[in-house]
Parts: sequence; C-alpha cells; structure tokens
Amino acid sequence: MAGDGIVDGPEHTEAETRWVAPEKQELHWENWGKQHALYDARSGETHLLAEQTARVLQQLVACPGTAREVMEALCSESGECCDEQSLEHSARLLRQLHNVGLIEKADT
Amino acid sequence: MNLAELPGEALARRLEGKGILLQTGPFTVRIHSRVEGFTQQFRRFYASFPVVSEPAIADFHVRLIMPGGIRRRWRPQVLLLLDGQEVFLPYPLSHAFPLFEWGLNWAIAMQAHQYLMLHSAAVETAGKVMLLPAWPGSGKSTLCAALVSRGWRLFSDEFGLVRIDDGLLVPLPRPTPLKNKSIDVIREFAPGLEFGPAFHGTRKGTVAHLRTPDASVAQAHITAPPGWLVFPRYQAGVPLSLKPIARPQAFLKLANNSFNYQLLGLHGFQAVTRLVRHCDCYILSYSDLDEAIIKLNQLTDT
Repeated sequence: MAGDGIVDGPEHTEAETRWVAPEKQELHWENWGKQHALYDARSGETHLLAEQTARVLQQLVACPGTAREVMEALCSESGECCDEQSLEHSARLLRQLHNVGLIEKADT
Repeated sequence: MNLAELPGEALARRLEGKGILLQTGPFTVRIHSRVEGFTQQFRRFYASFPVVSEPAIADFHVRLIMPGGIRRRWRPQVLLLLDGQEVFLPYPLSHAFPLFEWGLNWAIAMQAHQYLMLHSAAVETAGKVMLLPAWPGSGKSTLCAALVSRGWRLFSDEFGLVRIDDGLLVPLPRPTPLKNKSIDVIREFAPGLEFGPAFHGTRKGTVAHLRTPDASVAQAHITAPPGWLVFPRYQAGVPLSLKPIARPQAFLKLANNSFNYQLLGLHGFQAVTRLVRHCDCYILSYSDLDEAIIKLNQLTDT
C-alpha cells in the first residue's frame, strides 16, 4: 500500500489490472439492437447494458485481459483506431462492470 | 357441473361441511364458509364456474370463519384462513366477499410460481392477448372492464399468468373489483353489466364487483399467445396518447411489475424477454374510455 510503509504485494496501475468475466454459460443475453439485457445466473441479478459495455464484457468472457488488451481486441474487431481516449473509456466501462459485480480482478 | 346447478341449501351445506371445490382458471380451490351472507354473494358471482368432482387435490384451501368472543355480538367480524393460516386481520362481517377475493389473490400471488405472474389485466381479442400491466391507481381495472364490456374476452383483471415452458397466457377470469369513482364510470359506460353490492369503507375505499362474463368462464381453459403490451395510465383531462416504447424499457417495466420475477431466476428472465420479443409495446395515456377503446381496437385490427 503506497505511502504507509507497509508492503503487502505487487502494485498494479489500473491499465495493468487483469479482469476476468464469468463463464459463458453463467450469462444469459437478450439483444435489442444497441441495448442488451443480461441475466447473471451466479447472482440472480439482471442488468441492462449499452452496446459498448456489452462488447467489453463479451470480449472478457472470450478472453480475460487488461483494459488495453480488451480495447485492442475490440478495435481490431471493428477496424476502429485505438487512442488514449478509447483506453480511458475501456477502463471506465471495466470499472462499472466490476462495480456491479459482473467481472473480477484476476488472481495475480 | 356449475355452481348454479347446486341448489342454494345444498351449496350452504357443502360450504359448511367438506367445502366446495371450485375451478377458477388453472386452479382448484377448496372453499369453506360458515359466514352469514357469504353464500349468496359467492353463488351470485361464481354461478357459472365449474365445481370439481371429489376426490380432487386443491391448490388452495380457503376458509371463512367468524371469530368468537364478545365482539361477535356488537361488531361481528370475518376471518380468512389460507391453508389453515391467518394471513389478514379480521374484516367486518359484511366484507366477507371482498375478503375472500383478496385472500384468493394473495394465495395465488404467494404460491403459483409455476407461472410468471404479472400484476396486470389481460384481455383477448382475435386470438391474442393484450396485457395491461400496472400498479393500483393506473386505471387498469377500469380499462379492462370497459374492453370486456365491448366484447373482449376477460383473461384476468389482476394477473397476467404466463406459462413458463411455452410463454402462453393462461386465463384466470374472476369477478372484477372496481373501486371508488371507477364504479360509476363503468356503470355509465356499460349499463348492461351486472354489479354486485358496493362495499364501503374497505382498505381500498368503496369496492363493487363486476360479474365475470359467462363466455370468459366457459373459455377459461383456452390459452392464447401474447400480442400487445400496453402500460395504461389514467389521468383526468389528458389527451389520448398511445406511444410505442422501446423493448428494453418495456422489459424493465415488466420485470418490475412482476410478482415473482426475482424468485423465478433464469426462468423469469427468459419468460419476460420472450414476452417482450413477441409483443408490440406501448404506453397508453387516457382520460376518456371511449377514445381509449377505439384506439385499442384500431391497434388490434391492424
């Protein structure tokens, strides 16, 4: 923990955090164009996700990764150009998915 | 055999003894009563409902009793037991019939989890069901009664029962309770409808029940697919408006409207998404019943 003199493990910047999603069979999707409903069988919770958030989560289901890896995979898939803004956006969506319990930090 | 085929005295004896097994939609209910005045009202409102032959297994056991004690002399009350348990405080004796109706609703809402249960009126036309999901005060029952008076088949005033395995709607026609101003609105709108007595001072104000159309009872075994989801909103003076809503919005409204969405887990999610997938979804704002019905008929004719 930085600044308190206690060393309790390796530090990661947010961009280096590896994220992991539930197994594919735990998530049940309904797609309405740019909106997606998602039922998480682990928690019993239902989520309504916008298109970009759903893509980020689906990418993580396919392959755990960092914000940068997720962003690069999505950019490669869509042919879009990646920049620092899209990295920030990707990191923000990952934080939101984490906050609602849909993804977790991978064990280091 | 229908309830009306049982002579009055035989019905009273059965209610006081082993009970009547009544078929209401998909449910068999065993009803016992030793309460003065209930038998006549029960007979009137459920005359065309089938009586199930013994022996049979009941889904619910409803018993109306009069509590003893000195209170019985000066302010008699009625108590409802569901499967032998008290679930409501006693009501005034004169409110036995509305207590029975609310008690049966409660039993269904608490136990019939083989269905996705929506808090919704449901009416059928041309082989498809229009669901009118709404919480109290939205004008759901009033609109439902008005549609039924114009020839739509009553599925239910209170429950949208969705079968989990195939998504079909299951009829549960029962007397429609109208409250307060709605009573006079429907009396004026459809003078031919048969109302029961007005019960004043209930927890929902004044309540009067509409008799279930015999044709709806006779077809209570005929399921139908959903066709339209219309979220009604009555507001005095507003111009009529029927606006399509996006499926994600309809999904959220419907999931929040369900009695048992959370409890059903994945089955609930699948049932609601299937419903939304197969329906055209709208919000109806209305203040005039005639206008609303013309609009809904136009919608279902297209």
